Amino acid sequence: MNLDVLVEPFKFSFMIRAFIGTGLIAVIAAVVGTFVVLKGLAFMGDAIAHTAFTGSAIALLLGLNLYAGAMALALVTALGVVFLTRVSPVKNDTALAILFTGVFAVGIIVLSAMPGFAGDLNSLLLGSVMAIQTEEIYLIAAAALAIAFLMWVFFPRFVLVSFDPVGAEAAGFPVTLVQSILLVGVAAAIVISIQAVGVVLVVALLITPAATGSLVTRRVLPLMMVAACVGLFSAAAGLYISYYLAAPPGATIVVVATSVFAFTLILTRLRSWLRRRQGD
Amino acid sequence: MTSSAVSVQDVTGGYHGDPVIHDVSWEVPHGSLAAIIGPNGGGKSTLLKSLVGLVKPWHGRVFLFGQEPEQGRKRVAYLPQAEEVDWQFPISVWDVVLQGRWLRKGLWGRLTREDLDKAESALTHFDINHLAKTQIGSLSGGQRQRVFLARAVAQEADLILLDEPNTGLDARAQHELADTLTRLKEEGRTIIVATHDLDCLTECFDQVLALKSTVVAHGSPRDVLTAEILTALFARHFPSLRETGEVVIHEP
Repeated sequence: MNLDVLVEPFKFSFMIRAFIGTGLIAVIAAVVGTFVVLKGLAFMGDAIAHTAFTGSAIALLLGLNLYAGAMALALVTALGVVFLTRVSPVKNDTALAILFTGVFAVGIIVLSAMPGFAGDLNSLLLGSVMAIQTEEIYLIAAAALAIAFLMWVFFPRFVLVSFDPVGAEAAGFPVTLVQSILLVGVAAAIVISIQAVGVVLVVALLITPAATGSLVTRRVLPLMMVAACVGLFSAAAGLYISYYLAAPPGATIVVVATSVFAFTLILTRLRSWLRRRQGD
Repeated sequence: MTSSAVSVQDVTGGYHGDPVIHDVSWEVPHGSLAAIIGPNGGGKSTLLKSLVGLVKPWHGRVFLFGQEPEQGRKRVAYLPQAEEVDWQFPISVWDVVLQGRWLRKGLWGRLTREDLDKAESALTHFDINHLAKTQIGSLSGGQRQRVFLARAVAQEADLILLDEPNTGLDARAQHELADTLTRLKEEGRTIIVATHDLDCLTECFDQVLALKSTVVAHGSPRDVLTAEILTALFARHFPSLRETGEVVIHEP
């Protein structure tokens, strides 16, 4: 491969920022997404992303920081989920769907009430990775450090409450608190990731790398590491492809991640099939 | 207040406004092996969950080791029904047993060399060291039970609650489980099992609570497992007690 092909995008400072920002985002999302996949919370991730959209819309209307607005409503949703799982008389996913579609609809109304909203709407829905600013890189890096700290301190506890929350609660372990801390991490990762791929595709960054990891290992920590590598690779490859084909970067990153998942799935199925044949 | 391992006093409780158990009172002495029996929907699991606060009693009181459940349940290990556990979860036997130590650490504690030694010792206790690296879902039903009991031992639990532990086990695994529970009792632990399986109750258990929403009877297996009580408990299934102590349930 001609080395210039790899180096050329780095001639532009916006591409350097895009690579750094998206790489960090992909790793954060994959690490947190491991628990989202293990707990089967993909739908909840989608709900948080959609309510974060409304938070951004309201912040836009009020002239506040978009991240702050998104984080506020993402946190309300994440902690609302914990509350719903304990008290809701209807099924959790039903209650969640009612909550997040209602809040998302409010976001659309808020944005439509603002003149010249189309550009902002586009970047919120589809991401604007090429427009990442240096200050945003700092913010993303701070989020990455915070999530690394969370994992360092709480990783075995996250595994415990993900695997056997009932047994843990019965033994007096603070399950609700630990689940809330985990969901705050998920909310933060989603809000940060919206910058890269937008509300519509953010769940893919959370879910697809971790789902790929689950195909190749049956331990949580290795799964998380594989997910981080897949996320990083997808971000880098997606940006290169996007640069050379002038394709939308967020969508391209997701297509790469999905392709890695599909490729890994085929390989693992093929390996199982070959093993069964050798066993016959 | 009482010095029993478990004291249940006039407890009524249920889910979403629907009562499942009514005015249940029961005492389980330290170091005993007790069973809660009854039909499906009779409140066995609800009572078990009420003991550790997973279901909050609407009225009545529960004491664990003479303490309120919030304090007492730190000495409790609860083994949920098999279908409540995600067996595909990517976790090894060693990590599950080690969770027994994490349960004691609360939010901020870290594991020490002593914690690792205790987890190792729990593996040895159940002769499952060779399974340490195996993913939990790859094990048989009986092995999974032993792993969870090893976690309880690593946790140094004094009271072990098991919800329908015989579900999915073959006859041999059920007998091995009964032997294991007896051994844990002999070590001084209190064991309470919610079960609809009446096999081996007379030979293994010290006492039985017959529950059908409310207490039908409680006492020693010989006192509780009478034709009259079992018929009241299981309605038209008419169980009977053979001379050997074996309980037989058959359709009319």
